[in-house]
Amino acid sequence: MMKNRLHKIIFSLVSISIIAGIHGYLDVPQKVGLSLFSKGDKCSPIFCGLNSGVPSIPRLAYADVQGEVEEALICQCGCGIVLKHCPHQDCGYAIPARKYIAELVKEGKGKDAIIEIFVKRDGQKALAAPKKEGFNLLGYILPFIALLGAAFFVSRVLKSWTSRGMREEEKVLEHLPEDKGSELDKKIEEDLKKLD
Amino acid sequence: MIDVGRFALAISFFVSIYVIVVSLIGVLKKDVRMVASARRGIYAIFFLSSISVAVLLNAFFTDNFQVKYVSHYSEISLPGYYKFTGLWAGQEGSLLFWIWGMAMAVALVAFQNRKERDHRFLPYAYAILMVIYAFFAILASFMTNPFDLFPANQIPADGNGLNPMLQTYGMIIHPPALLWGYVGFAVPFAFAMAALITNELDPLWIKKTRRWTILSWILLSAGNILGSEWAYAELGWGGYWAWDPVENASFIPWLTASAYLHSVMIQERRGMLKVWNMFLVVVTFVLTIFGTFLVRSGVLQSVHDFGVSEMGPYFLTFMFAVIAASFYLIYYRWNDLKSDNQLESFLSRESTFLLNNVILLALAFATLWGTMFPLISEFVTGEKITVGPPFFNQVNIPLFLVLLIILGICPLIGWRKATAENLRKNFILPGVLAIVTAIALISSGMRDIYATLFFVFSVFVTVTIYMEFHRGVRARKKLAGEGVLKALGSLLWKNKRRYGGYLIHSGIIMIFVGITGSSAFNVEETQTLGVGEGLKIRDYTLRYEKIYFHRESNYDSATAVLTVLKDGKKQGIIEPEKRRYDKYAEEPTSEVAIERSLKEDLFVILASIHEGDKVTIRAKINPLINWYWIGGIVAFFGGLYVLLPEYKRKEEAEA
Repeated sequence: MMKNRLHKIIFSLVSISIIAGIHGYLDVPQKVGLSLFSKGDKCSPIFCGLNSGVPSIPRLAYADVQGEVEEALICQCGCGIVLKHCPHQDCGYAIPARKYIAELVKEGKGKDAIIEIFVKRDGQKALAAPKKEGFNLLGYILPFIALLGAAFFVSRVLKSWTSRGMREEEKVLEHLPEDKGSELDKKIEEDLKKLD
Repeated sequence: MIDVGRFALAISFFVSIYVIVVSLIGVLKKDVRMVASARRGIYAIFFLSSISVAVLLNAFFTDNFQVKYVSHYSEISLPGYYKFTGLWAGQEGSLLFWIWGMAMAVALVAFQNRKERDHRFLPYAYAILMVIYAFFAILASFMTNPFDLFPANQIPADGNGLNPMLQTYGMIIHPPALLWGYVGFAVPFAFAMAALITNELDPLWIKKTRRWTILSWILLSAGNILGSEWAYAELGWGGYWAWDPVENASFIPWLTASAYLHSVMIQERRGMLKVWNMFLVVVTFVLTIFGTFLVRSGVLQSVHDFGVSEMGPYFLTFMFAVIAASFYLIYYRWNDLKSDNQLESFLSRESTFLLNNVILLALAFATLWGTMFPLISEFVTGEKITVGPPFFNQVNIPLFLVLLIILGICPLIGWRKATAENLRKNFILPGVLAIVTAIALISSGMRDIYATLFFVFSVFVTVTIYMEFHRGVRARKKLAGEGVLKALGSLLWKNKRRYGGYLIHSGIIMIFVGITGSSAFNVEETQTLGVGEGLKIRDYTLRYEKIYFHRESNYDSATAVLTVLKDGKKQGIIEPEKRRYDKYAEEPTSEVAIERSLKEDLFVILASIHEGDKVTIRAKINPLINWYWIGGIVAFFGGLYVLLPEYKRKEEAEA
């Protein structure tokens, strides 16, 4: 019963991570840094301040597209950071690129179209993360395949250890008079308590 | 004078070869005098490398620009404390610093074990540590020597100066912490290999290296956290972790070291997982070398790297030699590494530790895979790609979530065998409170699935940690008749390892909370302002008052003065700044202004200055971000607490 329970725990946890991974795969949060989550439009009042009397200033729609594009592209100056956050104040790549994106936005081009223009111009390396197609798909799924394999391997190892451990314990107990067995158990328990 | 440093470094290399030889002769011929000579050789190496470091520092402080390294990373007007940091600002100096740290660590190991004569593995451990030292010393002496000089007729009048992004207080602690963290893992590695060579596989080598492992883990943790603080305060983009290859290179060994710190407990308690622990020790050490390789080879683009160098192939060769030798030794001792015990139950703390190891290793693999994938993909497809934050966020978040869950489950399950009744009893309170939290968050409008899950499980884990303390205090109250505070004090004092571990876990939870809050709920606004105009962001208004310019020793500065109003009430003044360093005039930097509180940070950047004293201000609110730093501090002190000498019962002390 215990075995099944642990099996369930292991596979539930692995499943959570895989399902969550697939969720992430389907809905890509194109954000920078350790921005673990997609930023929702609705914010919990716990964090936003319940009694805010100051309305947020209206922003032009293109500013959002600009930000999204800049977060989906990597600066090519060598800093390795997304275009929006290149730390170089006079960056020879980021500054003209941002201007160019702004022009494209004003022309009415959407996020995907602008990103495609940059990919055509600079190649796939312009993207902050590779497209999920062809060989690059392997990049996204291999960690989860490895996790699944590792979880399966560990559960097999645990199973073999446990059954061997149980068999050995039974053998020892079979050859011990009952009172000695309980004395032994007590001693082990005491020792473990000391360790704990 | 400079030649003294150069020769001391070169001589230390030859002494390390001497130590390797006499250690091995000493152990093979059972000649204690030889081993003692090796130990003295180790002290000499520390002395020699200290001389080299002192000479280079002296060159910095005396503005000796004949030394190429000093002229590249310093200038006359550089403040003194940054001249000190120049030591590790570049390739050559940081390698010397690495060597010095290594020499210090080995000298400490030799000193700690100076009275030990019964263990054959010690001389082998010295020899292995010296092989590592010799590898780095040969690189520093003959490939990237920090003491290389300009010809006498080409000495520059002033140096190039230190990169402005490195002129920050974080630079004083962050690189040394990381480098010493890397260095420290060489000690458990050397002892593990020595134990394999001598077949002295009892837990003694683990006991002897336990503090080194924990100390290295603490330093690596501190290095990573301080690095993210540097990125947050200095790079000026409002984030703190960019999944940069070099950041990843220090994060990956941290993950494997964390796995080792957990699984080694099973070996100490139950004599199990011996092969696995050996594997983790080797992998962690190899990954520290890999990190050093990434920073110094220039194979991947990073804001941290030292540029392209010729050292890459040497590091790769060394790394593969270490891997081959270590795995051969593990294979050779395979039968001797069999577990002393078997698991009694699937549902035991041992199993959850294993699961924790799987997730930590999966995270390490995913991060390593993502870091190296551009090279792999280019090799296969012929096209260059970039693997940036979106990739790591998608792959690693689910794994972090599972890790968090295990962090909560682990203390609820006892060693050896847990009963269903115990489990039910232990899970009820944290489970119920987690559900209540979920309901509260969802009903308050939170819709982000990941953020909700992270907060809910953070509550779950916090409650399990609290329960551990509560149970211990209650037991002491009952058994020893102590009051709450005394019981808590005794509990903490007498079980440093256990409760120090829980303090570290509490810190990790705070870090998760900080990351979740600042990632999921941050807002950002950018606006160009004239004097008297305001930028509104959530419940803050930033009113632009004026801009003033001033001159410091090695840079010009422009500072915008903004009044912070919250809900219309004045909170104070905030002054983001822009600097233009004399030696890096083409790279102006932003000094961000941050208004910190436990609830959120108001992060303000002076993005640009326009005609008519107009300025563009970028403001960001990062909710809960400070819990990230506080968590780092708690984990740091939790780690230090674990390092304190263990409490011994009266009868044990007398024995």
